[in-house]
Amino acid sequence: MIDFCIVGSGAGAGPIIYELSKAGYKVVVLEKGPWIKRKQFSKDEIVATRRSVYTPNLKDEKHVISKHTKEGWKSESTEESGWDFWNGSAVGGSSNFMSGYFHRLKPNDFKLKSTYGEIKDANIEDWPISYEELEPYYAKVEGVVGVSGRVVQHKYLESRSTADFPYPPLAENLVSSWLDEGASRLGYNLVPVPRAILSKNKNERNACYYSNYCGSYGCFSGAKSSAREALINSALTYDCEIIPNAKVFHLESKGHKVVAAHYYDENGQKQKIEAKHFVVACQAIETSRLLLSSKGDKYPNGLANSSGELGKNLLFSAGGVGSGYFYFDEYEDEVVQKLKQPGVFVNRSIHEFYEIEDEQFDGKIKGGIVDFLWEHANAVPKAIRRKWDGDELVIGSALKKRMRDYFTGLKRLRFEVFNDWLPTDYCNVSLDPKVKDKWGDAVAHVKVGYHAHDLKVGEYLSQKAADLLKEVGAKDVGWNVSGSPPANLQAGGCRFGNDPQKSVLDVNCQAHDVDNLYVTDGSFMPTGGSATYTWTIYANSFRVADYLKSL
Amino acid sequence: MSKESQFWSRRNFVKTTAVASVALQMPLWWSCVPDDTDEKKQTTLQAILDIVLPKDEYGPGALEFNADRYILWWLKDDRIDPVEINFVKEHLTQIENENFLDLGPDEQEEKVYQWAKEGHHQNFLSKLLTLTFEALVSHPNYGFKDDFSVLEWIAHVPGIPQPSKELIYPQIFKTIQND
Repeated sequence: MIDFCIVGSGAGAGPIIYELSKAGYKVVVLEKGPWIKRKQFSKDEIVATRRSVYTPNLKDEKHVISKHTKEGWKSESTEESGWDFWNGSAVGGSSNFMSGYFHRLKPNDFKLKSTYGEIKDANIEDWPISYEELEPYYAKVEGVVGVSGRVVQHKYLESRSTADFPYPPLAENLVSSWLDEGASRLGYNLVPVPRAILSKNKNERNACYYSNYCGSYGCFSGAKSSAREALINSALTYDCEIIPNAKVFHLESKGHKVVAAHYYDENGQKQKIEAKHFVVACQAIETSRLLLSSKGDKYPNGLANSSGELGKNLLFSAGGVGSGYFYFDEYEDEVVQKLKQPGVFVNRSIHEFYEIEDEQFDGKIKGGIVDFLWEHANAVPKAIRRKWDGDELVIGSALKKRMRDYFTGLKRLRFEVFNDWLPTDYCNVSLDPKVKDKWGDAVAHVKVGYHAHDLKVGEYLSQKAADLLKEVGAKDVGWNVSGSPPANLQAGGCRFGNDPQKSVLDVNCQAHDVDNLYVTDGSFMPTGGSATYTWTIYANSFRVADYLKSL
Repeated sequence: MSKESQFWSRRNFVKTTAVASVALQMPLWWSCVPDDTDEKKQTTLQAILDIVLPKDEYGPGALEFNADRYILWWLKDDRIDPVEINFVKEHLTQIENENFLDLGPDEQEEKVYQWAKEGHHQNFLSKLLTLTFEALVSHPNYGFKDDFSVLEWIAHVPGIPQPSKELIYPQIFKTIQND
């Protein structure tokens, strides 16, 4: 009998797969996507970003997105809109294709409600665990999964059980020092960004070779700390079986237990696997979809949905984006060559405004962080942005001059703002009543409403980041804050908590109302903090793995 | 902000500028795609591409990296949304029916520049440009260029490792499946 059947193989599943296999359990993993090996990841822009290779074809699998417009809520299939909510269907999930900007949550993120109070129309709840309880697992991720960086003191530095990162920081671009100096002149610290990228070899994984093509691409050296490279490959030396191209569509329950996972195999044939325990980690939207689809005698509204909270309070990690330009004709050649150095990272972040005390807000509020990064090296998006001038299409030599000037005459430094995406009643997952996937199953209907407070915080942080860009000499600085969610950073939908009436999962991420079902992707998060989720997802999955080993 | 991003729906964007009058003619000639038809489409594409991305003092033109052949390859890809493919095919058909190829070079150029300013061919041209950019960066193993020298004018350096023939699209699907 299989001990653990795990649905999904990304950051939420990896630690479970690794820890339970290593502990001697028989583990079977059902992964919807194919098994792409390290040697098969090239830096082909067509494969990585212009076609559906690492993600499902929207003709076959789609979502329906509801968004609030001037005319009210409007729904549209992603096949129609092209707004793709898939982030990586492959063994290792979207962690294969992440950029690996890693931040821990901070202690107050675990008690947002009790620290900063309620906000009207936001469903804020404290977490049932503290930062101190998760800290050892953040540290474990640094070592086992692999996080590079360096610790510097600053007013929002989280407490640490280790003095520094196990892997030294990655090489940096000249502009990082400019940002340090500029921030110092503005009166705040800039923090080096930890990255889930190895700066030195680790067992079978090689150090980063600064390919200049990281985010959206699979890693050819194994340096990127994907669940596949860091955890699953190791798990294979134990009693662990990975079944790729296995799309789970139903979890069959008997009484208050899950007894089987039903899936379509690579030939579209229905198969099933029985196990003692089931762990679901399909990324937030698809996890809620699977559980909502898994109705049973005891679960008429979906598995683990006795509270009626399943699919609710979906979160995204967002805030705003901005950029400024360094025009090469304003700098000496030697400086230009350093700015143009390919592959090396910016790796700087503003944490100064994790809390905001400013007269434009009513008392102290929760703020967020800002990451700085160079514009991605991909050529096609850069060229696409050159072809429009207002409502007119630019063609001919005028277009080529714009392209040449952009590609050869400047570098664009971007920033990404992360502040809380407050949980609300208008951001959630349900089953779409009409649209089906290629197997005939209802797709996820995702409502992507946002709270107006989020935009105010995003605007505040964006202005601070823009000030820094201007301070270091960037030109044409601009930023944009909107309520459109970034589809690649999802959480919530199965929030954990102590009250079975108000939460889907208990403190150990076990479904309150199912004896042998666990959810270990970002779905468990009742609030998302002001940072990308992946480190926290990894850490929590290690925490749950420890609990499962103790059963 | 690009014009595309002002639209909620990619397909509505396409539909608003679709050529209704020729839509019904579509299935026949494109379902067969005989060589001579391909040749005519290719000639039309070449004429347009030579105007939207010409060879000039800035660098090579679209025809030097065979963007026309790349677009014909894209048009036959059954993994691409058929709505998008039909959109391009419909506009090509209409342009042919307008006897575009019978015009002199100056008149052709005047027409294409007019389409770029406004009107229902504008989004078609925009799509051709996007595909042309893809052709520009595509690896030589795709078969549309001999090497990356056509990228020198924009100083673009593709990442390493570059794709082997087994790892380009769409062969990569089989390669992964068979591994």
